[in-house]
Amino acid sequence: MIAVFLAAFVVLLSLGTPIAVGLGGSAMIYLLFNPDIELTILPQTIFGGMTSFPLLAIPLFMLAGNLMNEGGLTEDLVRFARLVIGHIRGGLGHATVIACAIFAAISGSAVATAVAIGMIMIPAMKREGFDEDLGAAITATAACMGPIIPPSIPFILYGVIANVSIGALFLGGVIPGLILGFGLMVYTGHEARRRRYRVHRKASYREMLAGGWKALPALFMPVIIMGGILGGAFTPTEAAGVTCVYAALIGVFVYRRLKLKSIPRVLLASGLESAMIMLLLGLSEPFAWIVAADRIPQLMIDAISGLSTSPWVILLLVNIILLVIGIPIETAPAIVITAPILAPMAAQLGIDPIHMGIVVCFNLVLGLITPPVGGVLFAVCGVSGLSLEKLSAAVWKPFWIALAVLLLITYIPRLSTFLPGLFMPGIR
Amino acid sequence: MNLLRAVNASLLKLAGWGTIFFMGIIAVVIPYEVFGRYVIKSMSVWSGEVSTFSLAWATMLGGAVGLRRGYQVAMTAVVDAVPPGLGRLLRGAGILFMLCFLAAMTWYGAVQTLVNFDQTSPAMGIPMGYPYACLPVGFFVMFMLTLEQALLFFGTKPPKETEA
Repeated sequence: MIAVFLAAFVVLLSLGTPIAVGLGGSAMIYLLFNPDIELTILPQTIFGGMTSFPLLAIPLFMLAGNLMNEGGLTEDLVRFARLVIGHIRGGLGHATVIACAIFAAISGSAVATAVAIGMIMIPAMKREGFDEDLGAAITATAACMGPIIPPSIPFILYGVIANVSIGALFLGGVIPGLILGFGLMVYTGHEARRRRYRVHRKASYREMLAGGWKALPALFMPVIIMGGILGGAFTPTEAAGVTCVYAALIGVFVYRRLKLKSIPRVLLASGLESAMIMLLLGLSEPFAWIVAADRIPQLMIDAISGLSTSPWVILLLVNIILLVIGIPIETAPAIVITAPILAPMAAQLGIDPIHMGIVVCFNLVLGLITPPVGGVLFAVCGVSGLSLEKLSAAVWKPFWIALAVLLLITYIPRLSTFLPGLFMPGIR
Repeated sequence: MNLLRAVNASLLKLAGWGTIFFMGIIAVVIPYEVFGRYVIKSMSVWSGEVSTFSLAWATMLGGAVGLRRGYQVAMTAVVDAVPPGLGRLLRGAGILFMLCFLAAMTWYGAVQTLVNFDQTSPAMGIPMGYPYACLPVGFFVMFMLTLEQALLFFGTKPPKETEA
């Protein structure tokens, strides 16, 4: 039966059907071979998969990001980052990394981060003498901080599927996200020196303060999100809702760039983006149920245990498998497919669930920039006008840096578990 | 075909406005819950159900609109890699399977909806058929859109391969 189920899934994916249909369709075929179970169980489990309260954070964080973009907050963020760090060699590249990190602390999506920051920074870097492919590659890799630094759509997905605290996963992503940002800044500095880029004048403290004041409403958002969650004031879902209201209010009343007539368009765009993920999640519910019922995680553990019983070797194998899966499959469907298998596996092998969640999500996010296909690569090509071939060639170097960070967080679990342990000691 | 196109255009418009409506509800109800807890010091019993049921509706309607607009991710590496003739055959098989799957989901979703009209939700006490109805409605719109795609796919001749 497992063979039929897995074969159906692989065949449906190969036929080019949407992955959501592949997930639901393979479950339907499995049930057709199992006359004891009625097909009405399918809509029942799909409905159950879509109606979980923590999942409401997904449309709300998407809406918050879109409202922020529409309200013009992104431009002030970028201007502030340039004022602070634009004067050192390769300053605009560093400013891009910092702007991505701040935007990542508001948005949970890498593609949204790449588009929002890339649209402003890639042309700016080009104007100031940056090689176009280098600027685009830095933006694409820095955008991967979007779903690593909290809030994060992949962490919400993983948390719900694997039954791990979303707040703890959010906290666990902070240090890995910052290490990635730091690594990218070292790379940018090195390339800027090698290519002898010009150095710009340092902004005066007055200019920095003025820029900081204008960007303050946007800079305050991460404080609301993480402060609210950590302070116990609200759940991640409620934090997302409050962020939406905050983004809408400052977009309308402070920046005055968000028009009421554009609200339906923003709601629709956010609705379509989140429906893509939610539909996947709903249709993966019967898939996950069959995976559990047929004890596929146990079979995987038995198979892998034959190779090694060391959690470190197993984590390496998991990383390699996920990197391969991440090339053709986007982050959200990849998490939906692998989390029901990997989470119980981690529990049996004694791997910390938060550590496993961070490693899985970080790894699969890298799939967004792994040439030749990846959502962020496509988005950056779109905003920069650069060909996919050129960007793919340029993105390899920063990709290796991201891969090194992945190895670091794989083998130093404290990098993921330190902050959750410090701020949420009761949660494991 | 023209009639199907016109019907689908109307369905898409309705589904789009439905997505906006239910997203709007979510965006209002969740912050209201926080407002209620901290400002007016009253917890609402209905907010959890209203928001999660709205999420289900927004997902099914938004999923249908997203299907037309190319939001639903697919893995096309295999159909793109094989020779064009075989690729077309595989794509055709994929579309036919989608039609069968969406038809089955519409039917069983409708059955489940009718069954659930006899049950009421724990907090609001409304028949559970109302939230469940998002499944047959959403899958039906997706079925109609896929039917149009199928007619277009099978009704047009494949482009001739250029001779070397």
